[in-house]
Order: sequence, then structure tokens, then C-alpha cells
Amino acid sequence: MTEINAVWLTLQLAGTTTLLLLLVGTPLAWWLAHSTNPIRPVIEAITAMPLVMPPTVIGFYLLLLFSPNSALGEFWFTVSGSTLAFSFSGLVIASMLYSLPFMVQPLVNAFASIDVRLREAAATLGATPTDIFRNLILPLSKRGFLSACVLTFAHTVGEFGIVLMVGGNIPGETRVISIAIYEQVETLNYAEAHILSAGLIALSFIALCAVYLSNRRSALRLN
Amino acid sequence: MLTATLNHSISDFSLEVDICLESSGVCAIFGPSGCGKTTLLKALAGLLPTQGQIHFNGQCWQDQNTHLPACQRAAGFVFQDNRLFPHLNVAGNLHFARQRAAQGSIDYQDVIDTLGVQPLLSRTITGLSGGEAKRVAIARALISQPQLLLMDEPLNGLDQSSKREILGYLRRLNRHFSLPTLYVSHDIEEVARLCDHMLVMNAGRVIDQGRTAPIIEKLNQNSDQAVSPVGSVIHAKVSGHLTDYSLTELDLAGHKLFAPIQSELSIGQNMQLFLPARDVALATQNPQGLSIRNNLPGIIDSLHAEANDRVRVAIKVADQMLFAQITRQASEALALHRGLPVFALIKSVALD
Repeated sequence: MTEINAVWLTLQLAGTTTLLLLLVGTPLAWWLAHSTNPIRPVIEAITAMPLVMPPTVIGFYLLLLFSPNSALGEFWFTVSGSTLAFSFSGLVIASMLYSLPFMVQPLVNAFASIDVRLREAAATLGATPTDIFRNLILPLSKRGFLSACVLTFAHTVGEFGIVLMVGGNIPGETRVISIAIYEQVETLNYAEAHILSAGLIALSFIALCAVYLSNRRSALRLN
Repeated sequence: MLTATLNHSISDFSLEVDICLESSGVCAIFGPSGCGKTTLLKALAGLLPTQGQIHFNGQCWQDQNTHLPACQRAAGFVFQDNRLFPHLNVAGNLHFARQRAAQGSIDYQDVIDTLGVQPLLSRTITGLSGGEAKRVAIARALISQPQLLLMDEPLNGLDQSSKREILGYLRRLNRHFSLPTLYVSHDIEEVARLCDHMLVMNAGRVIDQGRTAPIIEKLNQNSDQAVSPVGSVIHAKVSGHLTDYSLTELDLAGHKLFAPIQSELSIGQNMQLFLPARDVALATQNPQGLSIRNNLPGIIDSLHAEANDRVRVAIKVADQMLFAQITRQASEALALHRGLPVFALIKSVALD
């Protein structure tokens, strides 16, 4: 198998994206689930935007944002000495944006379904807000976290348009599985395209099965 | 000692209370639904932002500059809906409280034994019956070592037999841990059986407060009130336990009373009883050959006509007041009047 680099890079990208989104998405989802701020619907809409936008549109604007002519691009260039466009770091930022709703939505649902009355009860037992989050909210939203992470990971593995726009096709840096498949098909190398495509199908299926099985098991336990 | 001056309004409801409570015994917060009892309890616990001041045993919980969060107030809360954590089993719920408990004199194993929770420890929360869940919730609150216990209608939503069971546990609890307790209820019989003091609330205000017996006597006098109990609180001394018969013998000013056994009370201790007026019958002569074991001689103090041709008779026995509800027909047939000596007959089971 000649595309082992693409597979490894894809897993690295999806893993990094999932981890960083977990850090960014958890407080955002908590805020979305509980804030009464009037601007909340606007933030909700922005969070959900990647669901409905063509990846090429996001890719296009990110490309402009990453160019050394923009403020962010310039800042990144002075800090790191390289450009964000056509780099692994750029891909991570793009993937985080693109997969944001897949992390945030399940977490918002999980947080919103936890009764505020349980938090009150924990407070009367002497639990501080951080203690409540760690020992009540986290275990009660375990399923939400699992769904969010699996969906984010799988969605990042499957992205194509945005990677093509922002990352291009640099082996070991931005050439992920979906790009590799595209190129193999273009060069009529169907055997290699089959291996990668079937692999992706299997991976997605297993990931989604894991999510739905865990949901089912918890539902059964509650009954 | 708990003092609180609170002001809170939401849309068309306002809570305005100014209370001062001794830090011992059980005090009822009594009143009809929607009068602000639960709101007051949540404000005291720090679960509801309110205007005003709360001081407990010399510690400021709340004033203009302070608002101690719920987790820093030494108040245990037993919620009406229990609020046990569904991801933990019974032992896990108790452990949650134990891990965060302050220093205190309440012994973990003692709580578990007193509330009979030991056989439930490995059970899941969803598998508990209403009464079992309530016992676990009470145990969890106690294990957190509170200096003040807040209970929000703990008997609400339970069936009759669980109610009686939990009431028994609550009495045992009060006698055993003697923790100052605020007990919200809209059921006068519960209050009369359990509480030494009471606050009567109506429409967000405290309209009366004091010892339970005289307040209930007062509430009996004006029967047109929304909160109208029909019965009386009496106090009697334990003079012995007839374990063979599952009865406890009580002494009320030289007269014997038999109540279902209260084994945790020792001889010489005082017991507070509630006598529902409907369970008291009257006789003008000392009757013989009755299954009714309790017969108290007294003098009629007053007669009140009630709805449906009923008459409420107040009878003075020693220095305590009893109420009997009888039909107008019976009252006329016996020619009852003020000052007439009568015998009040009470079934032992009514004294539970």
C-alpha cells in the first residue's frame, strides 16, 4: 500500500482536530445550553453555519484569511516563519471550523438535558461549580461526549472540498485520504482508490455503529 | 439561631418575611399551596437570589455585600422530588455527600442504620420505591453534616403506607439527631405530629408563629380560614412499653393513654400526638365494655356549628384542649353544653 502516509496524516488531522475542538467546544456548548444572553441565537447560527455552507466557500475565505496579506496570515508568519495556507496547521484550523457543529451540537443537547435541579442538589451537598461540572455534569453527559468526538473525528476524516482549497496536495503535509482517492481516480488507478474508499466506508460505519450502540445500551439501562 | 429578612418578587407574587427561629427542634412552615413556603426554603439554602439578610448561628449567609453560595451554607436540603443522582447507585449518592461533608457529629453508619438504608446500598436509583428513595434522600442530606436541615414536603406524593413509614423515620430522626429542622408542609396532621414550632404563611407573608399546640388551637377556632385543621395537639409522658401488645402507655395528667408502640422513646420522655377531631367520640357517662382503650374525662369548653350539620366540641382535659367532631343530631340527643363533664373516647390506632 503506497498511500500509508495519507492514512497516517488523516488520522493525525482528525485526532488533533477532535482534541482541540473538545477544548473549544465544551465551554461554547455549555454557554449555548445555559446562556440567556440575547446574542445567543446569533452565536448558535454561526456555530451551525458550516452545516449548510459549501466547503469551497469556507475554503475560499480561509485561503484569503491565511494569506500573508491578511492580519492573521501576517501574524502567523511572524510567529512561525511559515504560511498557514497549504500547511498542516492551516488544515487543522480549517477542519476545526468545518467540524465545529459536529462537536457542539451533541454537547449542547447533552448539557441541556441535565436537570438544573440535580445541580442545585449537588450544591446543597457542598459541591462547588467546578466540582459539579467534573463529578455530575461530565459523567451524566458521557454519551454526548462520545457522540461528539466520534462524529467530529469521522467528519474530519471525510472532508474533501475544504482540504483541497486550503491544503492542496502536498504528500506528508496536506495529502489526506480523500485527496489521495481523488488523485488515484483522476489517474485511473482504481485498485488503489478502491482500497482507500472501502477503508473509509468501513471506518465510518464502525464509528457510527459505536455511537448508536452506546446510545441504545444507555436507553436500555434506563428502562 | 436563624434570622432572616427577605424580599423577593416574581411577576405577581411577592415574598416578604422577617423570621427569627431558635436553633433547636423542628419548625414547620405551614400554609396553602403557592404561599411561598418552598421559595422561602430555597432562599435560605442559597438556591434563589433574593434581597435581604440571613444570619445563622452568628454567621452571615447573606446581606447587602455578601451572598454565600449554596455550597458554603451549612444547610442540608431534602427536596420534594428527592433529586438523587441517576448515574450513581445508592451508596454512590451517599458517598457524594460524605466526600464533601464538613466536620460534624453526625455518624455515617448511624444515619444508615437509623433510616434503614443498609439493604438499599447497592441498588440503582431507578429501582427504588417512593419511600425508599425518600429515605436515601434524607440520609444523603444528613451525611453532608448540615447544621440546619431544610425539608420540602417530604411526604408529598407518597402513598398512605409509605407516608406513615417515613413519618415514623422522621420522628426517630428528630429524637435521635436533634438537628434544627425547617419542615415545609401543607398538611396540618404532619405538622401536628412532628413539629414543636410552626410558622403559618399565606400569600408570601408569615401570618403567625409560635408553639404548635396553641397555634393549631387558634386555627381551630376560626374555621373559615383557608388553613383549617380539625384536631388537636396533645402532649403526654411515656409511662411504659407493652411490647407484647405493640403499645406504648402514656400518661396525660394521671389518665392512661395507649398508642401504637414508639420504642425509641424512653420512659419519662414527652410525646407529641395529634388527635384528629373525627377520631374522637364523646360519652356523657363512663362507658363500659368498649374496645376503645382510651377514655379521658373532661369538661366541654365550647361548641361550634360546622358545615353539613356537624358540631365541633372543644373539651378541656387537665390543661390541654381536645376537639371532637360529632353530628348535630348526636349533640342534641346528648344535650351537650358548655361546662358539661364528658368522656372523650379515642381509638389507640388514631394516636399513631
